[in-house]
Amino acid sequence: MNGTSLAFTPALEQAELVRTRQVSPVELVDLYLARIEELNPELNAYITVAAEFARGAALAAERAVGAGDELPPFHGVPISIKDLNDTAGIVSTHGTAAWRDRVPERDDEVVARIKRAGFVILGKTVVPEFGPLNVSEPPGYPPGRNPWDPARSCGGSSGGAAAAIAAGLCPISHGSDGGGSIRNPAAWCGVFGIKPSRGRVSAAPAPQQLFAINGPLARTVADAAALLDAMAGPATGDAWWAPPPARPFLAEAGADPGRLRIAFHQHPGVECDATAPACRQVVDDTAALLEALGHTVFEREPPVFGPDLLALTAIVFAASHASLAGVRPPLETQDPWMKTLTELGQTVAAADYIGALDTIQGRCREAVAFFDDVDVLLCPTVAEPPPLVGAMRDAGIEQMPRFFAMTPFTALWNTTGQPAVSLPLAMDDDGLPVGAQLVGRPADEATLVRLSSQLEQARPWRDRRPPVS
Amino acid sequence: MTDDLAYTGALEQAALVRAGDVSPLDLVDLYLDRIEALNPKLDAYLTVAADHAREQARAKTGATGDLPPFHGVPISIKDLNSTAGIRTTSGTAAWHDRVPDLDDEVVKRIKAAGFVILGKTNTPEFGSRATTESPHYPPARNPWDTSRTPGGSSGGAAAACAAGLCPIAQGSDGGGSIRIPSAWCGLFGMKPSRGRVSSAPGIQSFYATNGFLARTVADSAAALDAVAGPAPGDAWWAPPPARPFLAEVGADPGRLRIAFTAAHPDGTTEVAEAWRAAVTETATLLDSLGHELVEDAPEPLVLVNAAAAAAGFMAAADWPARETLDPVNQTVLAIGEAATAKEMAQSMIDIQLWIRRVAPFFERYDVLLSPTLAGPPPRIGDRIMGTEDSLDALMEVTRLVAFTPTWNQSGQPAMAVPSGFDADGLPVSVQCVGRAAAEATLFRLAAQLEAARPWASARPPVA
Repeated sequence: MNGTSLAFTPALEQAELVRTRQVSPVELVDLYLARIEELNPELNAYITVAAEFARGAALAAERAVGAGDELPPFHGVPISIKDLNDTAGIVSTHGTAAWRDRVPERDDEVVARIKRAGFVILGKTVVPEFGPLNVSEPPGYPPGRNPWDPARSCGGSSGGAAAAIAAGLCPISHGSDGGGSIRNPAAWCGVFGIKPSRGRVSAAPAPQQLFAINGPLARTVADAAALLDAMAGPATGDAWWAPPPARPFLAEAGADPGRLRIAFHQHPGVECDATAPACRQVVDDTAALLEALGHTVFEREPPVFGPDLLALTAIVFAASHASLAGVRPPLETQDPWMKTLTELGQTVAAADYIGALDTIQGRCREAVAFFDDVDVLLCPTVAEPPPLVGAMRDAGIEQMPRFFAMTPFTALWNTTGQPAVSLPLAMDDDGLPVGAQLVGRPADEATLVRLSSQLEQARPWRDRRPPVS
Repeated sequence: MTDDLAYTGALEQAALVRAGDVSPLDLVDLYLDRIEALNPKLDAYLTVAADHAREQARAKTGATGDLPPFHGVPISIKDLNSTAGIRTTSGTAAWHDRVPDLDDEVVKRIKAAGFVILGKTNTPEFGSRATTESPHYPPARNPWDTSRTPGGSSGGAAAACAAGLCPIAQGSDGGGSIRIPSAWCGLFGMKPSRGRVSSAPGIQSFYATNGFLARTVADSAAALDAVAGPAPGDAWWAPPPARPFLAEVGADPGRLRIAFTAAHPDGTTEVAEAWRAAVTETATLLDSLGHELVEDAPEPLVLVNAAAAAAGFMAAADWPARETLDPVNQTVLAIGEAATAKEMAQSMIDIQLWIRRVAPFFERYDVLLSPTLAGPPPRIGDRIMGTEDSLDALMEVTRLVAFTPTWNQSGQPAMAVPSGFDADGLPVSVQCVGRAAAEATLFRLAAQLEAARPWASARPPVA
C-alpha cells in the first residue's frame, strides 16, 4: 500500500493494520505529518500541528503493540481535534488571537475519551473564533480552505476538521455542532458527519449545552459510528444526558435498517436565495434511491426554522457567549461577529432570554411531533455551494440572515436536540461535493447509522479525492 | 364505608376495586363526604370536582378485563397543573375562574393509569413559596395542628393525603415542594430525577418535576411508574430505569454507603433537636440494617443562583398584572425584570459547574441522609404572610427548608421519609438523596425503612 492510499484508508481499517502489525503507529503519524507539512500551508486545516506530541504518543502506542497489550479500538490511529476543545499540553486557541500561546493543563472529557480509545492526536483544526459561524476564518490566523477548491471555505465551525479528512491529513476528526457545525463542513468537504443527540456526549468540564454537542467527522459511516461510541456516555456531574443506545453504534453500521418511513423536503423556510439546484437534486436522487431500496418515501415539509426562531436563537447564543466574556480576551481583540454577538447578550433582558428559550422549546415540541409517523427526514444539508474565502470577513451579527441563508437546514435540529447526519452523496457541475442531511427521532442515532450505511453501500464516496490532497 | 378505607393505600384500593369488594363510586363518595366535612378546616382543596369525579367513577364501575394499575382509585391534582374542564387557578387571583381545555401531560397519564380526580389542591401562587398561602385564597392548614402550615408548595396535596381526603396526591417539586409538605404532614414524598416526568406541554424545567405524596412507598413507586418517561419534544429526559420502580419496593438494597449530616447547609442556623435526632436515629437504624454510615456532607449550594434563576423565569412568564400578585412574587418579578440575559446565562453556567463539583461526592456515597427540614412547620400568618417584612419572613422559611432545593439544582432524586414525631406531636422527617437518576436505590431503601418502622397507620387529629 502506498502512502497516499494509506492516508485515505479509513480509521478502523488503520486500527486493524496496526493490530496485525502491518503498519506501525509511528508510520501513520509520520505519513500524516509529512502530508500536513506539504498541504496545510495551502489549506490551513490545522491551526496547530502537534508533531512532537504525536510522535511521542505514536511511539508509546507502538511499544504497546510490541508488548502484546490489550489494545483499545483505535489504538495507534491518528486523529485531529477541533480547536474549540482543550488539549493538555497542546496549544488551544479557540480561534481567538489573544490565546495564540495558551496551553491548557487538562484535556476536556471528550479529548480524554478519544485518547483512551487509542487515538494519537495530530493537532488542532481551525475554527471561527469561539465557534458560532459557518466559515472557519479566525482573525489573526490563516483561513481554513476547501481542498476541492482552495478559493472557497471549508465551512465551519468544524471546517478544519472536515478539510483535514478530505485532503488526507488525518483519517478521522473530532468536531462539534451547535447549529450545523459538523454537518455543513462535512457537506462542503465531501465527508460524513454525525451531529449526535442532545446529551449523547458530555461537555465536561464545561456545562452541558442545549444546542451544541461534540461528534465525529469521518470518511466512512463505520468510522464515525465507532468514534461516537468512544465519545458517548455521561460524565459524573452532567446535568442531563441521552438515554444509552441498545448496542454500540458500530454494530448498527451494515445492519438492516428495515423498511423506514422517510419524509423529504427542500424548502429552507427563510427568505434567502433559492436552494441551489445541486442541493435540491441530491435530495431528489436520494429520495429515489431510498425508494428503490424499499423504504416508503414521501414529500412532507417539517415545521421550519424561520426568521423568528433565528432571531430568538441569536439571543440565546448571544447570552451564552456574553456569560463567558469574563473568561475570554477583551472584546476589542475579538472579531466583529463575536463582539457584536457578545454585546447583544450583555444588553438583552433576562426575560427576553428566558422568553426566547420558552418559545424555542415550545416550537420544538411541534417539530418533534412531525416525527410521530416519520422515521427519518431527508433534506439538503446546505442551500449553497461553499462561499468564497473572505466573503464573510468583518461581518457583524446584523449579517446573520446572510450566513443563515447558506445553511438554513441544520439549526432546527440543534434546537430540538435530535440526531442528524450529513452524507456526501453527490458532486455538482463545478466538481464540489454536495451533502444530503438525514434527521432521526430524538436519541435515535441507531436508525441514522443503519440508513447511512445502506446509502454508503449504494453510493460509495470514500474513494473520491479532492484536487488538493 | 369506614374511615379505615379512606386511609387504605392506593394500590390496596385498586386491588379492592379489581376484586369487586369496593366500587370506584364508593371510594369517590367516601372521599367527597370527608372533604365536605374536613376541607373547611384544612382548605386542602381549592376546587372540589365532585361532578367530574362521580361521573368518572360511574364510568369505571363494573369494568373488567385488563384494567390499568390504579383503576377507580381517587387522587388529587395540585392546582399548578392544568386539568381539562376543571378550574385551575395556579393560586393566582386573576385566574379565579380559569378552566383549561387541555390536561397537562402528567394529568393525562394519571388518568390513563385509572385514577379518578377528586379536585385541585391548594398551592401558593405559582408555587413560589414553601408554605401554602396566597393573598386571595384561604391558607392550607396542617391536619396535625391546624394553626400551622402544611408547608408548600404542594401543601394542599399533603394536607389532603394526611387527613384522609385522598389516598395519594400528585404534586411537584422545584425547590422542595413535594418533600417539605410531605415532611410536615407525615407522608412519604419522592422528588424524582430531573427529566423523569415530562412537563409537557410546558417546557422542561431544570429544577421542577412532577411527583407524588403518598402514604406508602409502594404507592409512590407505582404512581411514578405510571407517569414516568418522556413526551415527544422534551428537551431532555432521564435515562429509563432498568425495571419498574414498584419492583424495587421490597427488593434488597444491598449494603449501601450512606453519608449523613444534621448540620444546616448555611453553617449557622440551628436545626431543631427532634430533626437532628431523626438523622441520628435513622443512621443507627440503617447501620443495624447492614449499611455503612459515614458522617459527611457535600459542598453547600450558593442559594443566590436559585433566586436569580427563579427571577428570570418569573419575569418571562405570561402572568397576570403585577398588582394582582402575591407581594413576594411582585418582588421576585422586579428582580427578574432588572436581570440581563448575560446574568441569566451565567447563573445557569454556575449551577451546572456546581453540579460538577458536588457530583463526585456521590461517587463516594450511594445516599446522603439529612433532616428534610430544620424544624417544625411555622404558624400560619404570624411570620409567613407578613406585609412589610414579607421578604424577611420568606428568608426565615427559606432557612427552614434549606436542605431541599440543593437537589433540584443537581437534578438528583430525593425523598422525604417519615421519622416519628416531635414533643408537640408534629411529624418529623429525614431526607435521603440518591445518585443522579437512581430513584431505584431510594425506593429500595425507603421500603426497608418503612418495613423497619412503619408509619402509614399514624393519623392526625384532624382526620
